[in-house]
Amino acid sequence: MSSSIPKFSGSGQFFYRTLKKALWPASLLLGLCVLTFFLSHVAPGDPARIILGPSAREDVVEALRVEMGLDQPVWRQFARFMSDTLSGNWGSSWLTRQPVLREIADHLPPTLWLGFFASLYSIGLALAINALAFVWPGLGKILLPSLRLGIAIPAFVFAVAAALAAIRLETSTGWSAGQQSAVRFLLPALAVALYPACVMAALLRDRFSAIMASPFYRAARAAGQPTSLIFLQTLLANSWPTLLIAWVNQISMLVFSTIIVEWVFSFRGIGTLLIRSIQGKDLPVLSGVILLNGVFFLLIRMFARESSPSRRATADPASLPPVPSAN
Amino acid sequence: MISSMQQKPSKAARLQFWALGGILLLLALPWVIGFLADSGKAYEVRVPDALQPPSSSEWFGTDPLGRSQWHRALVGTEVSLRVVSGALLIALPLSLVLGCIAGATAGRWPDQIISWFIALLHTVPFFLLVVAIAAVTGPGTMILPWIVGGVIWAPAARLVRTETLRVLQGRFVRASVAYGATPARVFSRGLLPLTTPPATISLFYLVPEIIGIDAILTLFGLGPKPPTPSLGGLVFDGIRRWDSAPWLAAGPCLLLIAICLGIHFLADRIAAQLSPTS
Repeated sequence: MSSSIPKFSGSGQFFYRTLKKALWPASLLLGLCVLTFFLSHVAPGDPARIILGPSAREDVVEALRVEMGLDQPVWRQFARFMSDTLSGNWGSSWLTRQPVLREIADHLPPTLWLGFFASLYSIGLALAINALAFVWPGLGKILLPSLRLGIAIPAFVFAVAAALAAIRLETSTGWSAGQQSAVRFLLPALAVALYPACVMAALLRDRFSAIMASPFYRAARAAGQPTSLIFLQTLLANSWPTLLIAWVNQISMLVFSTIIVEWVFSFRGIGTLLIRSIQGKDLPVLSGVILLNGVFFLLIRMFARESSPSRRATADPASLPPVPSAN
Repeated sequence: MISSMQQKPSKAARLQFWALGGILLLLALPWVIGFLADSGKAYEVRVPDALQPPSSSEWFGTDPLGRSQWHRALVGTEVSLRVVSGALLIALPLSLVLGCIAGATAGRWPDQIISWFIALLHTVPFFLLVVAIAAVTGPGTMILPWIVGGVIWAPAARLVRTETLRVLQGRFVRASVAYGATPARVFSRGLLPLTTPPATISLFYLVPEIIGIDAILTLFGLGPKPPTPSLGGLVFDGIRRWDSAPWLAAGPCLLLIAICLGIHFLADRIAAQLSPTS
């Protein structure tokens, strides 16, 4: 009943809270580092032998092994891995000898453009479908069940089918004229966006119907507000956190579909880099991609959590990482 | 004590029927499809019959080596669904036990450790984790369900944790504890029946994603070795020949869509039973 826990106040509490908020993602990053180190450490095969090739002399391989610290105990190797990772030296690719970070930076633009356009499309489509269904309920009766259909179909089938359609469209309209500009990602991004758009539209629809069952919605209706105003002020203003969280949760699906679309269109993106690094057993690049993904996802989740007005209002326990000791 | 405990689960009995039925169906599905598939026709090379369009005898046409695409799609689906059901069989108990422990100790160290692992698995897309681990361990139908199951339990466990928090506040739990029920009894008679259906549903909704993960492994060269057909291999090889032989990719995709819709429909039925209005 009586709280015996000492309470921080003022700037002390702010400092304590910030520290607690920062500790959680930091510990997750450390865990991710352990995971990637473990993956590259237990991998079968001798890294020095893989780098130098099967025909290299044994004493040369041995020298490289010592240089890479592979003869050291595991904890010392991990300490070296951690200090290298934190200081921005993520090693170099075993295939191209390029630094991992430069490889990733070289391959990043197509993936970022695809992800950017796909995010715009999926948010726009989710909003457009729900707006249409709101204004014309009859149309909604056709549109919304087909969303369920879209969710049940695996995303890769979607991505492949839409990518094929996009290629058709490109060749028939001569769209691919702007080969070098970002415009060439406009159509392929549609293939990435379709599946997330279905999921986000369905989640937004659920939120809309919850609002439409509420007294304040009926009050707005009874007051005779115009439909467009109700849509913007009553529905949209109360459901954008849902849309934001749905988008955050769909980003992993965006990454998944991006890989397939990059493969179909042969873009030089992160997906292509990932395929190359796994087929060539290029573990530094693979670790780099995983670490970068982890940093990216943690940042996005933190952003989503901080920008949501109230975590309780968005009430989807599955969508956000739990705070370690609640409250 | 018994009566107070059983009042709530009596509604859960119907749910459990659906959930357990769904699990059994998913486990039986690979066997049924394997029974339909004729592995002789899936591997037999008949070059004169190469690239035939779909007909009444060959529903999905034939591939560049004259093999029956219908039977290859069936064998591929069987391999893929074996991974799915194996992964679900591993992920379900994992998510139930860990989710219940986390929910029952909310805020204390066991919960913090489990929640930390759940959050760690969510820092990277599931498929990327599976691909990375499979790249290190090497591909194989024996190890793949373990890798997928070891990753996919996280969202279900998070759901079970929240559900456990809710259930443990219920009057029937407090009443049975007051009557002297042990934690093991509360777990087996109160928690387990009420958290299994939501966990099963959430895992069922992940089936298309698991199939997708299994399919994308082929793109990374981690799928089954060439003579063995895989769904991913059939689709990704098929779209290279999309302009000349669209049936190669379309057939397996249609089969996959049909199966996923079926599983989704089943999950919807269980979810409908769960909703308070039913």
